[in-house]
Amino acid sequence: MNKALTIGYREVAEKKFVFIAAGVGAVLPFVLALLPLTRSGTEHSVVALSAAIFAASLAVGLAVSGGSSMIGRELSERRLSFYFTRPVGAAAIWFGKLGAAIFMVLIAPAIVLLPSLLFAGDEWRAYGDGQWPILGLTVVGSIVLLGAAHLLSTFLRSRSALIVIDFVLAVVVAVAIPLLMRPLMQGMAFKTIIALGTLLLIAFVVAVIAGGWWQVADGRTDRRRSHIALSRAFWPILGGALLACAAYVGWIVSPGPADIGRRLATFSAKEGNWMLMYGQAKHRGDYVSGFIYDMDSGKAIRIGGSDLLWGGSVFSRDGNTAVVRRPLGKASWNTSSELIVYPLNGDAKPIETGIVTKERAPRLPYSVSDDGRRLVYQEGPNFNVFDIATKRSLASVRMNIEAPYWLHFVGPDVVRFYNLNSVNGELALTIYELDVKTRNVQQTGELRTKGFSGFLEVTPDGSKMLFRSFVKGGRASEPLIVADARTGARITTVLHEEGMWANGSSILADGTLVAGMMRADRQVTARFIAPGGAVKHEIPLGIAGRVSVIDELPGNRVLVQTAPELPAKGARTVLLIDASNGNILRRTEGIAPWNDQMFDRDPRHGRVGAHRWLPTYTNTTLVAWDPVSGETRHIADRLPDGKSRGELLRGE
Amino acid sequence: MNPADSAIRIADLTVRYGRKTAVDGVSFAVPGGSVYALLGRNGAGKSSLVRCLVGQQKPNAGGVALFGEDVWKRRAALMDRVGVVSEEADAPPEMRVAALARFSAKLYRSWNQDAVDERLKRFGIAASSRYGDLSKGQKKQVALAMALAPSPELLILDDPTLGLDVVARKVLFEEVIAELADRGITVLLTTHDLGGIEGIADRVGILRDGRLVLDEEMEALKSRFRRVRFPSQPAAFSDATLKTAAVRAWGGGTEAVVSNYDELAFERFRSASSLNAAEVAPLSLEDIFIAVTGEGVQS
Repeated sequence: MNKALTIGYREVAEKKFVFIAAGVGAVLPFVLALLPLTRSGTEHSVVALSAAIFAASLAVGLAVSGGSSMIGRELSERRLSFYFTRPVGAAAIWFGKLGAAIFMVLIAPAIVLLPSLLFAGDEWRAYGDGQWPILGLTVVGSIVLLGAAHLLSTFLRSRSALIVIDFVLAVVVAVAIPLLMRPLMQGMAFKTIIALGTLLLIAFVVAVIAGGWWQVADGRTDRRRSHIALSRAFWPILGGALLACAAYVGWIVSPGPADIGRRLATFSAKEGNWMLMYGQAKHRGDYVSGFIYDMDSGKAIRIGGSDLLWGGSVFSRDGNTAVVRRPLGKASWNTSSELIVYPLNGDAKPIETGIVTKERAPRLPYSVSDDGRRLVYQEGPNFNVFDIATKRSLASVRMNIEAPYWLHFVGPDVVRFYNLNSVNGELALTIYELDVKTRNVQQTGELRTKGFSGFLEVTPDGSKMLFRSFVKGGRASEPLIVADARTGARITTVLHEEGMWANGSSILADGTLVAGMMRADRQVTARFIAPGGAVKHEIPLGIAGRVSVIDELPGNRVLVQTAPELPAKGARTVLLIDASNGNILRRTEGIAPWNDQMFDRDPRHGRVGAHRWLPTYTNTTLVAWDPVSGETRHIADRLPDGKSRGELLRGE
Repeated sequence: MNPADSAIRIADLTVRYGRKTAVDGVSFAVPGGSVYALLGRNGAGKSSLVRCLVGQQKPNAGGVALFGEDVWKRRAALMDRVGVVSEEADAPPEMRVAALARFSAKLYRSWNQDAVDERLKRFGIAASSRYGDLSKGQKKQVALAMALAPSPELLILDDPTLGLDVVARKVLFEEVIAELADRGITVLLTTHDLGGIEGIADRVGILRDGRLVLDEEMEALKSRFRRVRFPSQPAAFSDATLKTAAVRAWGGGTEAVVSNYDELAFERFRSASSLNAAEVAPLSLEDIFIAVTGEGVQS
């Protein structure tokens, strides 16, 4: 230790001119602040900024020069024998020199910064805690640079053909790291990426330190042997770390549906029992796994997890096809992705459509036909209809539709668009239909009402729609309009009564409007309104903070859910109601069926479909729930901190 | 010689650089308290051997032991007992001589600063001089002063006279090395200055093409090598019992360097060959070196 310190002290003393330069660098910002070019009142900024630039430049310069000369220069000038002819061990030589180089990299920039911190501390404090990560990164970056410079210096100065091997290995590492990170980025595992990046950085530093020690211990004064010794220690350590990271990444990306327990998101098909499920698994960091999952058979198809961020997947109405976005970019913030079609009713392989979209959530720029054979997608101002089997474009029309809009196939050859705009202070829902055969776009109708935005729901056959406009001033003045879905002609307009408003509402397949009506005292009723406007049933549901219509089931049955007002937690109640007579058929406590349908541009609800299972949360599990029989099937255990995406979005 | 008494013991030392063999199975030992001169032409393998000797280079085969310990494994500890003057000036050029001494003093268990000051004074080198500003010879002298300061038991000098003027060379050999030898310090040196070591080396080793072709006591070496001239008649040495290191025509006669000269054997050879007048002269170490390492060497 003493000998290492002696060597380190000698190294520092040899470069004392650096401290003189640092002293000049400390004064220079104050000189710059006095120059006439500096505007009055900005002296502190000039001092702080120029000192930061000088310090960072000095740190980088010292890291590069220190790293490249630490051992390499004396090796190539045949002067390293100076130490080896003295009673000092390799560790003392290496750590003495390394310590001195790090000391210089840290202390000299600190000398530059110190006066500016004292004089212009307010400028530094203005960044809050922001300057510390920057300083930390500069320090870590400088030390990494020091190590890299040492490596490169040793490799280059050896003048050995071995550098070809080093180059090949460096290329392998440079290729391996992005490959390693890519699945994590696609799974939005940002914290894991930072952790693994830090681990690799530490491994690099450890490899340089251990390699440098072995270089001195085994290579000694011979340039070529020194190179070999450094390489023999450095690459295995770095390679080992990469392999360990690769194994960890392999494990992180491999959970099954049953392992998913945190940030669960589920989105079930409108018919059938397939659903999309995403979430994080225990001990797998923040990596988001994604699956297409059959709640009936338990079969799972692994897909990327980043759908959760972009809301990228939909099912065809018949439930036999899923369309998923597969990210193309290496980085998760690169939303460029290809639409992949998964046939679900057989063993057919996924179909790569070649359709690339860059759109982000909240709503997908595409929709799939009910039979899963065609896609309509937006590409700039154009909407294209695409035949999946032949991978052929059937039509491409310029629409100039701005979001928000909805769209769905009315039949195989007709696509309907609903575009919401403000026109002369009014809210206009304009309806268009695209004839795929003639490639003709025609406006078929319009619905005008007051408000600044709205919510649209269409019956499965596309004949009727429920439009609820959002009006400034609150829900009490928001009308519920049932209209013809093609022409926009009003059928019924439900205005709110004094002291009562609709909290959740939905239109059933037969055009019946179901509204969860809420009084000021939180008394809730489920009101069934016939297409003509007459109230069919008024079913008291008790006191609740929220009420929503979850699902319409075969046999004219409706699932309605009541829940406490946010942010209060409490038991939810799901009621199965016979819409024909208003009778409550089943009341289930403590479960929460949930569909993350918010990204679907198809406004037709999924009810009346021939499905049995609903993705449903209990406090501890995700289950498939049959609302008719009450039977449940376990899918995954929720982790103690495992809030679902819905709960997170609702702020529960 | 008992190997345990050896200050240096080299066994089957082999050093290779790729396909080239620089040192090829060299073995020899240097008894404690003796002065060993290792000679060889440029590229003979001396530097590689010395680097192995001071633990700076790992041999491809064989090994070096100093005071019975493997120098590769125990270099740091052994260097406390060994003074080294390297072939090339390796001290940091920007260091002052005084700082160099202060730095070195902290690394050794014992350090005789007075001896350093005295030697520097004798060499005429100011302690305030920058090492890089010194001449090649002065650098060697500073290195020697530093090497001797910890009172080493073994001194390894790699071409110590390189760059020294005649006076400095004389001082080095006659005063320093001879004095050290008198004090029982083992010295191994490589040099091209064969005249300088002739009087002080106890043993000589000669490397040729990486092989140790000669390893012998100086006295025995000098006694067995003779230059023999038959000025008036040619002589054929082919069947002789005398081994010749070199044979050439000399006027009307023959000159040969005999490497196993023995007075009785020579007289027998002369009588048998009916050779009359013969001049027999001892060889200098330089002549012996040339005879051993030069072209046409037979043994």
